[in-house]
Amino acid sequence: MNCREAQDFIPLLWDAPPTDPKRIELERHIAGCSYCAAEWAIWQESNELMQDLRMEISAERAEAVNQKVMERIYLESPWLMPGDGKSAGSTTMFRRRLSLWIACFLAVFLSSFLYFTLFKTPANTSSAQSGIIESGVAGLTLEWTSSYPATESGGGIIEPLVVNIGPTHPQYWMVLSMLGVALSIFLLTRLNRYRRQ
Amino acid sequence: MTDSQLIQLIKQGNTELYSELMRRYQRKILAFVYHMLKNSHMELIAEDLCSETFYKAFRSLHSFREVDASFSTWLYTIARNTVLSELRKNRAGNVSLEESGYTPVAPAEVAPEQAALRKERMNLVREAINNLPEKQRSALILREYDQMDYQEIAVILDQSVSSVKSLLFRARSSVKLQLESYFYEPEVEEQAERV
Repeated sequence: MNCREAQDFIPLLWDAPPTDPKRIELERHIAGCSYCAAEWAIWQESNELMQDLRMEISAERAEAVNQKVMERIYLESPWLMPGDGKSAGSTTMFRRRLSLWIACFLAVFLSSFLYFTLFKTPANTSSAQSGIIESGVAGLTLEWTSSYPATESGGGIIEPLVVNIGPTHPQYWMVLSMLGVALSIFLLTRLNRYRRQ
Repeated sequence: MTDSQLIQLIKQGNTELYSELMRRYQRKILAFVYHMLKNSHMELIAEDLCSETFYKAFRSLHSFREVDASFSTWLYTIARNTVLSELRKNRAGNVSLEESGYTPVAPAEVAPEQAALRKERMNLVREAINNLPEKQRSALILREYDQMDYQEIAVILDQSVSSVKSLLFRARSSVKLQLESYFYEPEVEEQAERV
């Protein structure tokens, strides 16, 4: 091995195992060549200096990181907390049930909303619009025509209006499901506040 | 208990065991993050980034498959990505390791002038490492400080083994180049010219 080859091999064989035949050959050359020995010394020195720059981390500092991570995990997912840290409101079962309830309420709300907006056209339009049930009309003729909401002045006496007490839109399910969603949101907000505490 | 067994138990819901898993790597990862960073307020950021790394690892633990990489390699990959993303954010405030307040301890029983010279050389090496391109720096840190083999470094850097060898070659050459002027004496240079 001549000097030029040795110069090329030094960076390549720097961390080769001592048993590597090329490295053995290189070391043999270095032993007899002061120039290559100086080059090798630079490599050794730079490596030693790099090792001196190695950062030693104290156990306390590392443990602080550990605690920080575990606290963050438990803060953001309290249901993962072992033992007494768990509360009834944060168990997996409770969360599953709550999700199920919310899903049910939303399903009822959506289906009723779609039904009433897309498919349902009230048969009795006047009743639906005014909430007033037509009553009998004493008039001159026996022919009966619907009068609401049109303001026809056909003559005769009109009986007092009778207001239908029941809901004009029988959308109980929609109201109920909205109530359910509101309740679920309220529960989730309370749960989140509890977690932050 | 091996890492795989611990991970299995954690996946089954024994979250508290994650603390034990972290304990095995926290010092190494923290040191790696320190070496990778060269920004101001380094200590604070390093610890934050280290905890961010472990937190991300916990969140993605369900997707970790040991057939692809060892847990240690996977963790280093997350740490590197976390540091890189932070460095990208704070590219403006570059401060060297020395300015961060970190002062390496000089070896005991060294003459003052020798200690001063060594400190000067250490600064050169530190500066040389800081100035290396990111991949070279990562490869060098993983090899020199974490004693990783080429294959592991290749997985972390998402490079081939031959690329890793090349990265290390270039990184070491750059560091050595910084020191060269402090080493060569006139007679050695003359001899080199003769060669």
